[in-house]
Amino acid sequence: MYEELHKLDELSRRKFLQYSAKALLGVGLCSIGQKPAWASEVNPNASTKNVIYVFLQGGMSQIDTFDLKPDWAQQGPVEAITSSADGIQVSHQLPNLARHMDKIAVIRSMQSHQGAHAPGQYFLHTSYEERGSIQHPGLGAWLMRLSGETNSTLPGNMRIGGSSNTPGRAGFLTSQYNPLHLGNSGMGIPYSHAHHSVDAYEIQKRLELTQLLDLSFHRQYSSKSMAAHAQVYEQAAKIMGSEDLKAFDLGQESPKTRALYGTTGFGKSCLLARRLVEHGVRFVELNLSGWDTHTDNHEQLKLLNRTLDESIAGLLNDLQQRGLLDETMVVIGTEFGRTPDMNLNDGRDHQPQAFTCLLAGGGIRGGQVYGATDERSANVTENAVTIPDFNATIAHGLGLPLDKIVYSPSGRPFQVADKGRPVTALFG
Amino acid sequence: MNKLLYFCILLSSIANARIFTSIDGLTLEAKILYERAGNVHMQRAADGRKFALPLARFSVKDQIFLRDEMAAGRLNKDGYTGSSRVLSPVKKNPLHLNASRRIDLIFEKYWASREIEPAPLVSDEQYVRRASLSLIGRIPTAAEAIHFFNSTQPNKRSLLVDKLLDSPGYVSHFFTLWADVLRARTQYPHGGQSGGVYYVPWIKEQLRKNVPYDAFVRSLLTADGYPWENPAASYHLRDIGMPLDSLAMTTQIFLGTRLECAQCHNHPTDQWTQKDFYELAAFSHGLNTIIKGYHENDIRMGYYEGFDRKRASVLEDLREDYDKTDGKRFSTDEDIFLTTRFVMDPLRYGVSHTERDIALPRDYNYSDNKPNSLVRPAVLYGQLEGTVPSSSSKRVDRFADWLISKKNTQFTSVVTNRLLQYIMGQSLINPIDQITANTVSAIPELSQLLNQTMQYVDFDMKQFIRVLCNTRFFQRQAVIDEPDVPDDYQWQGPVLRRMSAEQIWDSIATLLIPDVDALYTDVYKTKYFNSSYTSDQPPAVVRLAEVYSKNKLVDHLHQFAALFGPYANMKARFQNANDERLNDPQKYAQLERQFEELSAEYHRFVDPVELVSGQSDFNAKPGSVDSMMGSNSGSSNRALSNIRRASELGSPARNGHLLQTYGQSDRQLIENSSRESNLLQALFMMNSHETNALMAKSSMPVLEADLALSAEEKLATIFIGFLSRRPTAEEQDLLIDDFRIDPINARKRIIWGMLNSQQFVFLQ
Repeated sequence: MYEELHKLDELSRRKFLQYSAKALLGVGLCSIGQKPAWASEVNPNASTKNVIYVFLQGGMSQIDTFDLKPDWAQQGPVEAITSSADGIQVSHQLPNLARHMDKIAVIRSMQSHQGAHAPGQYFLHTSYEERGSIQHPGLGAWLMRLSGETNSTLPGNMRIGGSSNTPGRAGFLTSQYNPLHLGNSGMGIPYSHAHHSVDAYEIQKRLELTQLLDLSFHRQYSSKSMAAHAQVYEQAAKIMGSEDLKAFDLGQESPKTRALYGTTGFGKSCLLARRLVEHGVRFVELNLSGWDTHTDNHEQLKLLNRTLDESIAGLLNDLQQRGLLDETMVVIGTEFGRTPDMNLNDGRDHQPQAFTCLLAGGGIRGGQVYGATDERSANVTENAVTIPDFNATIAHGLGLPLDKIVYSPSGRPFQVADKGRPVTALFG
Repeated sequence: MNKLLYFCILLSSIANARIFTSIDGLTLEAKILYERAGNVHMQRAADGRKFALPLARFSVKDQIFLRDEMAAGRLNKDGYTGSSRVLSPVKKNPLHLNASRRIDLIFEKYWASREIEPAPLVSDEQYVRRASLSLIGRIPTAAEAIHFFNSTQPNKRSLLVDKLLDSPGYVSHFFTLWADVLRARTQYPHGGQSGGVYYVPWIKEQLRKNVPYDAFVRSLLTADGYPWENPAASYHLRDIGMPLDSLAMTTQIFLGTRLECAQCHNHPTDQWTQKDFYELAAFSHGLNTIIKGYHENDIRMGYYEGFDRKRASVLEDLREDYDKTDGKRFSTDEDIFLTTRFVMDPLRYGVSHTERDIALPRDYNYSDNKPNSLVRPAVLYGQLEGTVPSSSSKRVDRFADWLISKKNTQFTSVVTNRLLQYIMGQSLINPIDQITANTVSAIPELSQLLNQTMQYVDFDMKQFIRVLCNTRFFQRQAVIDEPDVPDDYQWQGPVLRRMSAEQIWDSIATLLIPDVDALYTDVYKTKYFNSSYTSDQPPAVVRLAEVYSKNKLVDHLHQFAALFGPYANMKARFQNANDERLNDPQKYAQLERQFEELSAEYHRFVDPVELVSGQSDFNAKPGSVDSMMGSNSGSSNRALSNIRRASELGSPARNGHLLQTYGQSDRQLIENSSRESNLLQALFMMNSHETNALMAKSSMPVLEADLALSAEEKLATIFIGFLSRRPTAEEQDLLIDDFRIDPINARKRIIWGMLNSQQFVFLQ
């Protein structure tokens, strides 16, 4: 092989190397941005174009936030205040959000059957129960797979904050649909520029050399993880020096806009999410952790609610002012709720059978409450919404074909939201 | 006499020996004794002979290492304290090799019955890389690889295994495994609240001492007290206030049995009932992770039994004050109780025994028992020796006895499979932590042999690994195992994997600085809820209670309470100063100054500096690491001073560190690491400071290459440094001209190319 290489002129050799790398690795056969064959099955009139998904990690206490029970003895030190939506009351610790409840649909009848964090978070993100034999994709990856059109060099599926190992990544879909994870909003995409002494020609030469060095390795091995490794290099070459990187420069925002989001790191993530959506990223997941209030529930909630309140109120406000709220769905999701009874450590424990999640924008009709719980917020009394139903609702907004069967490489059939039924009453 | 004669090619095993390279490229394995008048006195590993070599005789890389050791005061005329940590060496038993052969025989039978060909054996080049990555978690240095290539000993592969098992890199590499399983974190909040800053050095110490696995697990399960007294107590403190979840984790990681479903209802896919779960939980339910008495409500309600008399009587006094004055003595809105708790918070989190019983939940829904009925301890399977004791600590002991017993084959089976998976990339039982009644081993006969071996060596993990790594199977070429394609993998050899995040980082660290294995972190530091936690000392409040008289302590708390209100108000004022921040920078700066002053005073109360040794000059203390450490921002030179192995950085590394980018476990969930590729990894390898530093003339393989005389040999050394192999004839033909004409730029391109190649990150 090398002898043959020697005989070729520079250009042919380069072409040959590129060809062989692609042939060996399967790279370049399904580039990002290529319109998938089933794109026609995506509803062209979908109300939601983008999703900003706020994951409240740990299990938000519904009874201290959006499903208050003032008559329940262990309600805790929160008062119900009225909001901009008729008949919806929220905790007094959420005064800013109260002014935006007319944009928000509150689902008080959420149900999960996973009471521990790891399986609960897995279920919330994928609609499937965790299995040893397969990894299920998250909504962002499903969106990329079924309707991944974007004219941006940025990945269409991103995550800010939390762990890079949060479930609901690409799963059995190819890893190009993995969300790109950034630890925080301030870092941008690190190392997205070559060293100043290196020009495009040199980068090209170096990449060629890399392929050359790997020739014997590739002759022996060709695996999916190797193909994925090669694929991210393609992506990297595309993004280096791209104009879209300006999305990460929060300094371009006016002080007034930045102030809308408050002073916390999470507020900055919300602002970045808006900028990413403007730059063509279609699914952004943000992480706000700390909701696992087994100890000192009331004390911890003061701080948690404050962060949630100012940041999300700012985000909704800003999205609306820019006319982005109509096409961008803001999701507030959590893996489960918390018990109405206080435990011995002044905390509340896990409660999967009744909790609250929120939706706003992207065609959702705000100012409504869906479902209800009993007098202690311990059980759902009407219109239960399961996790698959909840995810189906988001997917429905995005126009994804819920009944489309996609097979894993091992031949097992899967669907977006695992046969969950969308709550269409929330739209319109 | 030619001093270079001491550089030879023999390989042997001597504690704390290191491989040195001479100025003209020969290698020597020797232990450093002391330095006098520019001569380094050493003892050669091969024959134990002692001799002295002038510093100038060593390669530049080794000179840097030796001068650094001298500058740090570790090497002088009195001796060498650099690698003084005692590592328990692997016990060598001739029967190990018999066991290795029996394993190979079972594989041969397995292949024959399926009519498949095993993968061919690897070359020495592939072997030295695999053995190093599998046993010490990093690639070999050029010197280590060349030393191995040149050895003519027939059993040199086996000798290398022993040498690696006895090196400090073994501790680093296997720390990753256990830190992932145990979710050991030095970061917020677990570094403080759960005692992680005490736990992490302790886990490494267990590996250094090669404590048998069963004893290790026993010490975790039975630990009580505060983590600074007994770091193993962190095991239970990892799940504070969640005894049922903690038990589900215990059965998952040590028995491979998933019970978390049975916490709330009968297991849907396994045999366990909710009652089974509660019966098992009854053993350890007396363990309490939150010690009463330090919360404001506890104090109001008079909970302060169970800890030492002095502290109890302080709290009694406070309570009496409160009763007497009807709460009026306390001027601030957040009263004395809250501030007491702020100071005393570290004392809340410890493991104590209570006589608490466990009852079925009130929504228990099965006919065999009534809701809320008390549950007696019972094991899932097997027999408990004797009757169930009544005291909580004895019950926990009995539970631990049952769990780690050799009769409990699942306990053995989980750890043998875990180690097999860690070293070979695949386990016979899959997944390891979801064993059910229907689980079958891929090769039952092999499972049985491995379990027997583990029990024969009495859970000595080093001996067990020695058996695994002396198999011919370990020497076979890696094969592909696609996780979502069933039955493509038939145990033809170990599995081809991308290196773990830790292996990639530790390999880069090996290329950046000399002897990264010798840099330890003894002291981790973190904060939780106002209090500082530092590995080598108890939190300030413990000393406060020791040093202050009772009256002084009560006084201290009252003073603190008076300060608390203004502090809390100032904090809120400052945090809400959006208007000032945007419109009145001067006023904002003033607010900030006021807040900082008050905050400093406030923290002096929580963490009185004079009571905590070494606190004030913490950052200057050698060998200490802040839980935020691992920063590589700024120039590459500054970055180099922070280079340590992953095991010696914060657990896990900070956001944005290469370790996180490459999928290090966040240690929030059990074994939560990932080997998936992502864009950030490619950008890091292409453009990072570390990559630039590796291409520079001070990078280790480049320094080593400087010793070579010909361009061909220089090129070969760089190849060996990064890829552990010489260039092929074709590669040399293609690269050598550029390398001669423009050595610096060619070198940069070649190094960049190697770092970004798949060979670098995939473990063949």
